[in-house]
Amino acid sequence: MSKFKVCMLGAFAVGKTSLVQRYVHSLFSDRYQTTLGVRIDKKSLRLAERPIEVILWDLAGEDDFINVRGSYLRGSAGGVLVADGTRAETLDIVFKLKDKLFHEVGEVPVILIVNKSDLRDNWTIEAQRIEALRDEGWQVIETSAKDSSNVDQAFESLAEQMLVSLS
Amino acid sequence: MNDKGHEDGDRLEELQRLLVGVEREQIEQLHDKLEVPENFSSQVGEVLPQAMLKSTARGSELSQVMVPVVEDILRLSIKKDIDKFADALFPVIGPAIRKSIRETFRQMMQSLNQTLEHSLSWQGVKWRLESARTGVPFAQIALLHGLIYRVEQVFLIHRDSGLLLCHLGQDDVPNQDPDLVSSMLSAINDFVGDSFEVEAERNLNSIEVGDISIWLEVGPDTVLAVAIRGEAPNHLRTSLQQTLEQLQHELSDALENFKGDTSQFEERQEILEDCLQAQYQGKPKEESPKQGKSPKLIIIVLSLIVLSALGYWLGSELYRTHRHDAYLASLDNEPGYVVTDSYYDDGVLIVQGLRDPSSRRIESLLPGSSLQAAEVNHRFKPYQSLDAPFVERRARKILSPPAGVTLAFSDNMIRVSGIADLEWRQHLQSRVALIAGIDSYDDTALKTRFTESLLAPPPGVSMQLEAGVLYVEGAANNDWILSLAAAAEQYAEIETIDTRALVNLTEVSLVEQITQLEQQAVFFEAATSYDFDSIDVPKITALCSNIIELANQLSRSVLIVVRGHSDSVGSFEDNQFLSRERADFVAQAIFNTGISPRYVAVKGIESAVETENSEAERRYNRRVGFEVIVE
Ligand SMILES: Nc1nc2c(ncn2[C@@H]2O[C@H](COP(=O)(O)OP(=O)(O)O)[C@@H](O)[C@H]2O)c(=O)[nH]1
Ligand SMILES: [Mg+2]
Repeated sequence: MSKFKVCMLGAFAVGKTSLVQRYVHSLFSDRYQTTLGVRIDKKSLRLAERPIEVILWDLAGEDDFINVRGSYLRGSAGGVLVADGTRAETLDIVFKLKDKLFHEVGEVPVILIVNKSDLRDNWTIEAQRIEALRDEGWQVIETSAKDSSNVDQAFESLAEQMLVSLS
Repeated sequence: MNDKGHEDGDRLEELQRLLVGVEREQIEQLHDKLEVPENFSSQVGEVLPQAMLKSTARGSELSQVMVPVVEDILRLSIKKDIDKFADALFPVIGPAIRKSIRETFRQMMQSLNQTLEHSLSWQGVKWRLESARTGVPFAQIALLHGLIYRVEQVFLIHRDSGLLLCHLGQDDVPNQDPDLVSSMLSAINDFVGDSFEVEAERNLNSIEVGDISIWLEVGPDTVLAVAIRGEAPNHLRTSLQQTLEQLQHELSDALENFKGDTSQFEERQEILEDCLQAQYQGKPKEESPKQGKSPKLIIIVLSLIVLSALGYWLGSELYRTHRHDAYLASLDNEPGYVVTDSYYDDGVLIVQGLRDPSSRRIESLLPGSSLQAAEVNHRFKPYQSLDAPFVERRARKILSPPAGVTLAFSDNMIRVSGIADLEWRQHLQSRVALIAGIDSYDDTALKTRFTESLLAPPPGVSMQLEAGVLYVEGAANNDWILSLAAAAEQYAEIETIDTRALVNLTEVSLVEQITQLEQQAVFFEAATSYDFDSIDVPKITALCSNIIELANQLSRSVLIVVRGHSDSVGSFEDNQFLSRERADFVAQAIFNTGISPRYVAVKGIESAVETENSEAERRYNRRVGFEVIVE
């Protein structure tokens, strides 16, 4: 059995909690819920015949978003960085959080989720921007926690990367 | 010749001696050795060990030859003197059986220590039975009977990531997902560390949640956390530290290279088993459960096994134990008694346990057994037995049911029937929760003794109960009249209620308000459909809302028809339209004050108006009126 700690990182209200809920319970709550402290969830899956358990730490960004407790990041084997497509500024926060994560645990696998694809008409993060990030080597996945699109794929592709980085 | 012959003989001998003298001596010695049995056997004795050694080195031939011989010897020896053989085996057989049973148990149960202790002790057996009988989980029963503490779960947690490396729990304790618990614990630890700026090497020691406490021992790479029910002694902390040190030491390689693979840790879960300790009341405190009374009790049980296998050879000591065991068993079977512990102190059997105050006196129990009073010392504390007869006795005492009330008991429940006054009924409700062994009660078959005041009649109502019929006279509002109907069910004495002489005040008011509304009219100038001066909105609205409210109280449906009219001047179509416009105007005015449209229908004229004879008649016709339909 392999177990991985994965932390959810992103600005306030980008949909971290909703994504986890979607992935773990397949539920979407429209009710707005500010995350307090940390929420922990578990997803068991099999990848290439291997049983894997992903322990998801859903962190609450504090007021200045970057003030995530370093101790919460310790021991992470991967990170899910989440931006909100309708708020371009959340992407900048993602970059800072990634630095913070790498500073704490080294260069672990990460994926960048741009969430709320169901509201694509209102997106302020342009497609070119996302393409440019992909060219830089980011793994970017556009999801919607609301209609569930790409959510499983996002988490699974991170799990695969983590497995690869083991060997 | 003779001399010569003699000489010859001597010479021959001399010659022989010269020629073969040495050999001859040797031959004679050999002869001695072979023909004299004692000599031969001592010779063989000298070489036998070596010969056997050599032979076994070559193969198992010798052993095979020896097997039947040895078997014969054993058989003979046992036949001759079984005691000797048994004596020889005694020191071996106990530990051997103990070891084998221990191994079996280890496979069967995760927590050997206290499971063995409580499976094989008197109270353990008793509690298992109680658990089977009542369906209450064993753990709860043990708790009830004086659990001091029990380690229910052990978590070995990777310190950095909070990942769970290994987890053990008592079989009978339902777990949250231990992975999540593990991560939460580590998050809480971090949180406390960060929030209170604790020094780097100081960590959270324990967390108290209700009657569970969680103890944490933090090592360089791992955290050992145990969930404890009850009050654990300090030496548990030491034992956790030792376990953690052992784990850190034995798993140091795996920890150094840990990348999420937990299998190596799961394989070593037996190290954690020592942490699943427990202690119950009645054990001397300084005994750790592991080296406590249980080995002694195991031996008693083992002895019984050996006894049946090898016969009656353990002698009087066992006989005494046996007699005492029988006594303990009979005591434990005695209703109202629970034996929690027994041991010897200066040769006296000390029996500890619990006794329900309403059970038979202990002095009356001894004569039935083969024990002398001096042989045994009882130390019983009072408790409330959950056995049915005791529960029943206790319930009767606490509830003291009056004459006319019957109590029936089944499965932790009392069924109360008969008739009682309200006071006792309330007494029942408040006391039932205090009766140990009773979870619920059913008083649906209990009638309350009737008195007029129970019905709280309003002023102006009088009542009389005659032969099962309650005659009610006077005037009351609808709510109270409704509550009367329920009374008939509650009181045994009331069969029917006669309300023919009772006036429903709510109905009266409804009729009155309707009459008033139907007298209202709003008048209009010719050919106009609004007139803000002629309409008395507050009055009409008040009437409408009273009517709706009263009808609702009476559970009647109500429709207020706002009916527009017109004079006969003009075409029917025009007049119909105009009358409808007028009705709309009035309806809108009352909707604006909050009357719900669902109680209101807006209508105009439905047929041509007969030609009036005067302006007064025409003026009267240019109006909006109200009709109320109640169903
Ligand atoms: N339309 C839409 N709303 C979303 C989506 N994901 C999250 N939300 C909403 O965004 C708000 C913040 O979500 P939450 O998961 O609490 O964000 P967190 O602070 O990052 O954990 C909530 O009102 C969610 O209902 C999405 O994919 N589409
Ligand atoms: Mg959240």
